[in-house]
Amino acid sequence: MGAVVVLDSSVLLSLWDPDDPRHAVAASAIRDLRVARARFVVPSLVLAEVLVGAARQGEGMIRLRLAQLRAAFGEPHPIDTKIGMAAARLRGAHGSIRTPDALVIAAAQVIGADEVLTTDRRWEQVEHRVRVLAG
Amino acid sequence: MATTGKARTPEVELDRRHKIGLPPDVVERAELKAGDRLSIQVRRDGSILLTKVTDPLEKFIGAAPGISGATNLEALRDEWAR
Repeated sequence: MGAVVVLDSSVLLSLWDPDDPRHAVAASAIRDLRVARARFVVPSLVLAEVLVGAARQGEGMIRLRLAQLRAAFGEPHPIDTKIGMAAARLRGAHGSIRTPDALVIAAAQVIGADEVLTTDRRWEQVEHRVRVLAG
Repeated sequence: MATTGKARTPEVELDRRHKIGLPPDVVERAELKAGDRLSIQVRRDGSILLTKVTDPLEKFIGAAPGISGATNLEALRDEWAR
């Protein structure tokens, strides 16, 4: 079994959107991880964020995008009490971090993930397992 | 390989090791390449259906043009600070 990798919304959106400036770097990173047999984790908060664009296009589009996401990465991981507590600790220790950022990083901590992939450079100062995809 | 004149349905021959070769135009039209995997379904009427097995991750990559802009993730996250 390969590494456990939590995916941030920023990476999923870059991966999904061929017009995104970071699309190529995200696709390359995810393909490399797949070859290395990584297990991907998508927190349910990330699901809520990446489906916003689809929601604006109607219920049918939400269902389509959800099906694509589930097929590619499996069932989203719920944000539970432990993750909520870990996020609160992160917010307490790092005043500048936003709540959704803290929840994704906290999910990685609680799950014991090897890596969190994001395109947000600010996360590097918060958690050692963060890998920032720059493009 | 031989083709029937009217229907233009390609035909292939099964060799002694039960292998067939797909005609180049079929490979091209089906957008197949070496290394692709095909699922095989034998139907009740004796017809055989070959379907390209697609990786759901590859189907995901690049499937939603414009979704980054439509989502505006930074704005969504900044809303939590209000």
